[in-house]
Amino acid sequence: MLNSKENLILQLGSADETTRRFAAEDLGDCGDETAVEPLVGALSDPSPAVREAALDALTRIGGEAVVLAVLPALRSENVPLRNVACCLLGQLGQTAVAHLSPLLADGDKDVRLLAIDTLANIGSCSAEAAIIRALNETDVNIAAAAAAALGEIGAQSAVGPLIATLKSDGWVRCAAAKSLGQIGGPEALRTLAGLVEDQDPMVAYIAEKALAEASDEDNVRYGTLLEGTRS
Amino acid sequence: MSAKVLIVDDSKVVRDLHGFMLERGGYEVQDAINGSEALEKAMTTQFDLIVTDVNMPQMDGYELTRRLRATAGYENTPIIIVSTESEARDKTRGFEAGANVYVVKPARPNNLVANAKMLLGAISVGT
Repeated sequence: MLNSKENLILQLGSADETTRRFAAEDLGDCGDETAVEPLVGALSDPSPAVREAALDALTRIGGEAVVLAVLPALRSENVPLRNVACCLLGQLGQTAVAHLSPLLADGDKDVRLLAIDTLANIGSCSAEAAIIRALNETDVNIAAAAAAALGEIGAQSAVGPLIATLKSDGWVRCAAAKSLGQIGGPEALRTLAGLVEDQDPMVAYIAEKALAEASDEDNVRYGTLLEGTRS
Repeated sequence: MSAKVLIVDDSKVVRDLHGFMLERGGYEVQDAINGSEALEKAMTTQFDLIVTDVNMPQMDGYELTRRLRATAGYENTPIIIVSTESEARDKTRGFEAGANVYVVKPARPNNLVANAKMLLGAISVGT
C-alpha cells in the first residue's frame, strides 16, 4: 500500500524534504502511537519545515506515549531538539505534568531548570508544591526559575513562600517580586510596595514595574494600601 | 547618540533586568522574546550589540548567533551569550557559533555592563 503507516514512516527517511514533511503530516493524521518514535526522530530533521510538521503531528497525537517518548530529549546535547521538546511538552499540558514534576529532583540541574520552565508554560497548579520546594534550591538560576514559574501559575498559595524567598539572592528576589505582582492580592501588593525603595536597585525596579503592570483592580487596591501604609 | 542593544530572552524578568542594567550603563535597549523575533528586529534596526539567551522556543541563541553572522551588517557586531549553561562545552558551542563573550547566568550588573563597554569601546558614545 502506497500510503500505509509503515510506508509513511519509511518516507520520514527520504532524501526529499517535501516527502518527509508530507509523511510527518500524514502520520499526525493517522494518530497512531506506533508513529510516535519515528516522529520524535524527525524533530532532529535538518529541515525546519519537517521539524515543524513532526512537532504538529506529535501534538495532534498527544497522550502519554508522546510525553514518554519526548522526555529523554530534555537531556539532549542538541539544543534545538531540547527546546522543541520543551515546547511540545508544554503543548501536551496536563498529561506532561505528572512526568515533569519528578524531574524537579533530577540530578542534572539543566534538566531541573527545563522542567520548571516547561511547567511554568503549562501553568498547572498540580505542580505547585514541587515548584515551591525548588525555591530552596542553592542554584540561583533554578530558584529564580521556580519563583518565576509560580507567577505564571498564579496561585495565591504561593504568595507566602515567595515572600519568604525575598531574603535570598538578588536575582531570586527580582523573580519573586515579579511573580508577586502577577499573582496580586493584598499581601503580595503590600510586600511589593515595601520593595519599591529596596536598597538593591534591581529589586526596587522590578517591584515598581510589577506594581505598574498589576491589574486595574489590584492597582486600586494598591493605592488603598499605599495610603494605609503612609497614614 | 547611545549605542543600541538588543536583548533576547524568553523570560520577561530577565529581559527587564538586563534592560535595566544596560540602560543604566547608558545604552538604548530593545528586546525580543526569541531568536526569530530578534532576527526580524535586526532587519529593521542596526544594533550595535546583541545580548542573547540560549534556550528559547522557535530559535535558540546559538542559531541566532550563526544567522546574524551570515547577515549583512552583523558579521562583526558584538554578541554576548548569557546562559544558565556553564559547562566548557556550552561556551565552546557559543564561541563556535560566533559569540564574542559568554556570560553564565545570573549576569551581575557590573559584569554585563563591563563586557558591553569592552565590546563597544570603539563606538560607545552614550556612556
